[in-house]
Amino acid sequence: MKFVGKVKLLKKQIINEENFSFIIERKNEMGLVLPGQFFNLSATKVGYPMLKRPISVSEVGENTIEFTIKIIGAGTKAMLDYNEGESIELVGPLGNGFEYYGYRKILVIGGGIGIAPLKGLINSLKKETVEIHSVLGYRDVPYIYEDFKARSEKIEIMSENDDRYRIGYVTEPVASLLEKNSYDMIYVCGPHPMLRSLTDLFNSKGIRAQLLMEEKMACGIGACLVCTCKTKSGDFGFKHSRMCKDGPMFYSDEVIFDE
Amino acid sequence: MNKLKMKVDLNGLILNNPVTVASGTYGFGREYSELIDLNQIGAISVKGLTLEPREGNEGRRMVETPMGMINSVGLQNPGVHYFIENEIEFLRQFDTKIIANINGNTIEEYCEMARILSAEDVDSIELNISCPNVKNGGLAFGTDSLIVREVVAKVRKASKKHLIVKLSPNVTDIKTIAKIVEEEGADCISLINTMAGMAIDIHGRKPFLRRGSGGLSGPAIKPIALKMVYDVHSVVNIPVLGMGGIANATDALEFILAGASAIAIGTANFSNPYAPIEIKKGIEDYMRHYGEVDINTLIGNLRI
Repeated sequence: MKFVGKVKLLKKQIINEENFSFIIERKNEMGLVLPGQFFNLSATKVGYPMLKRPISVSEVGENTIEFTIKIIGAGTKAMLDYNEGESIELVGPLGNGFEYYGYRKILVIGGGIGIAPLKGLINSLKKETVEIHSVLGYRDVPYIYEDFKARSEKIEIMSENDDRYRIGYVTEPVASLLEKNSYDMIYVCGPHPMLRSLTDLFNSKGIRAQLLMEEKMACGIGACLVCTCKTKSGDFGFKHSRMCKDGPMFYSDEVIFDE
Repeated sequence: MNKLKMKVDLNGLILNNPVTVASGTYGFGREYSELIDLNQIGAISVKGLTLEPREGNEGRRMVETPMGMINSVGLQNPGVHYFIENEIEFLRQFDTKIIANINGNTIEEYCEMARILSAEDVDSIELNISCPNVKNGGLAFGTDSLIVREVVAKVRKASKKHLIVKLSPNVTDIKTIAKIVEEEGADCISLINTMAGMAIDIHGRKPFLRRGSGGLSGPAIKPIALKMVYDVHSVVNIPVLGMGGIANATDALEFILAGASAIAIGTANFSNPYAPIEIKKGIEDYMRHYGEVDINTLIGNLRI
């Protein structure tokens, strides 16, 4: 089920200079909304920039949905102008989210704003049944890590520049966690180079992870074919899967990283 | 309230209403069928088909620009045979006309596809002549009037189906091309395809698109498209299917008044999936407001 229409912005919260969050009303017509899925949000009320912006859900509540948004260009910057109480036009939920039923011990690895959809994932898992290990990486000062701290049996927070935290990339702690633990599933969301180097690591160990990926999109529903993910097809071939419709979650052993 | 007459005749292809959707923006209708009622759309021009399946271009394929977007999908499609076996039946459930958009590397490929589709349950064939011509150094078929003449004539001989020829705006004189297309037996002309465009990432000092450039669509090209529709309508007698940046009923009515017998919505579907239905309703509201009962009286009815 997909909803097309306007919803009310209930709460807007500024997280830091680069990031903010929206809590919107959740409509019945949206049906089931899963962590890892996204909505296509109008960036403005005036219609410019024209294309909607694909934004992952960072929390699915009973009557609300939260989006955590990083300002990366004109569209996401314009979104900041929405005020609480105003309506936002959106389409969704879209895409395939995370698969998480039946796993008892998982590793979640997030980089920057990629941590947001993982927050939705860990908060939808039952505490009694799932053991969570988390590795979060940031360029500068860490944010939205509180839920991970509260929920994870083990957690490592990395920063490239903030020396109050361990300096470096997520790949180092992930490699050592993989030495000592065996996980039912690994979830990753973050910048392309991070996905790529982690996928190399997983492939070398013969394990697979769920990668939540992104690409510039137009229709968001799989019709226009402007967003693609290069995936394996047969033993030697490849195909251009649709990031929006066939993804944005792909298994790491399906994806071809060649740029 | 008077019942409005919305049917339009594209020279043998009769549409329930003049609002259609443009090739490449609607896939084969499946995805949008989950969002809107496809019975409300006059015709669906399907994703550009090629003889063999194509995976399309690698790397980034789209960049948004002021009131528009540039794409270089590269005709990713499952091929004409897959379309016939898996998509026609689905589309046939709806009370809308099916336009099969075809693309060739060579004139022979266009003819082959036209022959194959002649035996199939599609209502029209739309010849996209903006494709690069492999034998002619990759220059688009649609930019060389001699080649336009040859490809349209040969496809016309290969198929008796209703034939639309879709013109590229990337030409010096679109009227000359349009007249040739009419002379060689096309039933209808659709225009415009995307305009060649480019956007550069100044920080990386590279084009945003891996292919360097692509086709610009959206409201940014609307005034250019409108002028071309007006110009073509003024020199041919066959009907014109107008498109290029149409995003609302006002835009659609401009094209109809400029001479388009029907219009197609492309990029606007992305930002507003309800665009076709809203535009159809907006045209009807306009007709009621001005006491018009038949859409056909508006076509080309400019007071100049």
